[in-house]
Amino acid sequence: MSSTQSAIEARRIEPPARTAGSAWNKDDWWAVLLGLGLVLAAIALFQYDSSLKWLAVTPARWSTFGQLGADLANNAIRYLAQFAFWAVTFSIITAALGFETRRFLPAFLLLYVASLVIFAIGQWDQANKYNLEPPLVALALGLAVANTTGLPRLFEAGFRVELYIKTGIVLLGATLPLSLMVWAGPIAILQASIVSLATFFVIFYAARWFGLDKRLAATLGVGGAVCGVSAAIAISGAVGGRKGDAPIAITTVVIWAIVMIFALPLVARVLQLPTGVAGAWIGTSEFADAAGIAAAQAYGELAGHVDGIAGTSDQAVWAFSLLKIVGRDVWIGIWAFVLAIVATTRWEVREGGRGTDAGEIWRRFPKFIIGFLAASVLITLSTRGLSLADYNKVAVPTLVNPVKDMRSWAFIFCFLSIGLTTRFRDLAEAGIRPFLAFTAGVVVNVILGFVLSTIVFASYWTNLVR
Amino acid sequence: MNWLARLGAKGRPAGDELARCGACRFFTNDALGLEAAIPGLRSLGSATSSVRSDDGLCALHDQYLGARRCCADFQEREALGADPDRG
Ligand code: SF4
Repeated sequence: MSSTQSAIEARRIEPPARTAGSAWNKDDWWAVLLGLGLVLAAIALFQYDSSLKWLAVTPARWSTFGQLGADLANNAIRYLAQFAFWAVTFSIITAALGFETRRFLPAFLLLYVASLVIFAIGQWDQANKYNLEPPLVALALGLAVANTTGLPRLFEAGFRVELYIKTGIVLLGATLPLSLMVWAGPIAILQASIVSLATFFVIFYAARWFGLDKRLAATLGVGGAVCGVSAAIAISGAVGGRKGDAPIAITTVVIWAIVMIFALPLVARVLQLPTGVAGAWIGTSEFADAAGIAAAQAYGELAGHVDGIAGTSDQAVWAFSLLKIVGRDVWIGIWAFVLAIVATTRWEVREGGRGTDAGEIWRRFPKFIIGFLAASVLITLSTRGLSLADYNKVAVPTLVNPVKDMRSWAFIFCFLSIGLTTRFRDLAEAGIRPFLAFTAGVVVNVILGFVLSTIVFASYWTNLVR
Repeated sequence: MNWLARLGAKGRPAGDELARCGACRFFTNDALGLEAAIPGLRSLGSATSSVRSDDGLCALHDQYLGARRCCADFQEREALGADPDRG
């Protein structure tokens, strides 16, 4: 019996209490609830001349250990309250997703403490000199632990990459002005569509040329073109792939996504790309949301600290979000729907077989995007009466920045979780042919993404301002 | 039925709506079981994600497919808890 089979058999002994299709066992809706809840709380406090700032504590900038120690000691009660807030909300959510709270809590405590340390390292005034951007430190540390000593499996309940990244993305919506989405959104969709289609067809036909099955070729293709691991699992299910297809595609995507987290910011730094342009390139050419945000945020943090890098940290994350979330992720349902029709009517017509229906588009729609858009609308509406000067003076420090700080926490939890859950030795054997087919798509994707971001549409990505 | 729904219905034979993978004894789609079974899934994704919908594994055909699919080998699963194959 294969390890895949034995794991499934083991789970069969305990039938789940919930049905698989319920909204309450999907992390997307929980992320929307938590993210929008925080945004609404921030808006309500802002309306009453108060702020979420007290809860959204982060380490201050420091240059000596004495300063850091004093800052942590002064704010100890705020950190405790924040830990309690995250621990309670995420415990409820993970319990609904099927995890035992007694397993989640110790793992989350570890994650929170490690995140605090990483956050503090990033606030050291010499951090940029030594490339200690928190997203990259979190990833590197997590990968080092997972692939050497490792952590007991029972800790895995606390490392929910998708839940943390989706919560962070909903909060990110609150800091992305709606006007910017309307102005640059269509260009983002155009750029992302050009690159997505080119990447898909290159991977698909390269895979077919290497003799791979059409369903695996499609799974690899959309994995490279749209949203990495999420796309691979969605398309494998939509086309009815063989049991081994999704693991092969996931291995390939994970390896390339991890390489790109470090490679794209590094190349952008060497070329001194403005932050908005680099964010757009990362949004077009990175394969997974979590990996891309790590890369975009790491690069954005160089602005103002490294000579020659123009722009702001916001621009890197805004451009990334427009390209990746608005330009690529929203289309996953349509990719799945179309490929499911092709698969069931042309690739594998089985006796008594049943195809798909248009509901597939909604069922697979990444619902957290609704929260991302709603957060942007809510903040825009709640600040619509303010002049730009008042917005910067009043709304930014008391409304926007606290939401941004909570977002930073969610992202650090995510980056550390990526590292801690990526055990290279556990990944499925992908084989050289799928890897080469995917790599052909990577080459086209990276070059095309670079040309469109730095030349064709560069004026949009360098001018992302409120 | 709108044009999108008609397009989606293409290739779908008329038949018992209940006879689908989600109700078949060969099908398992428990999210945590899938995460344990598919290496790398939880590292940059999850089985609790909307995009996975309610897909699962068919033990008969060794396929990963949607719970709304079906085939001629469909065998109804018995009541929840009575059948060890229930996923
Ligand atoms: S493909 Fe056929 S045998 Fe397999 S789960 Fe679906 S209905 Fe059952």
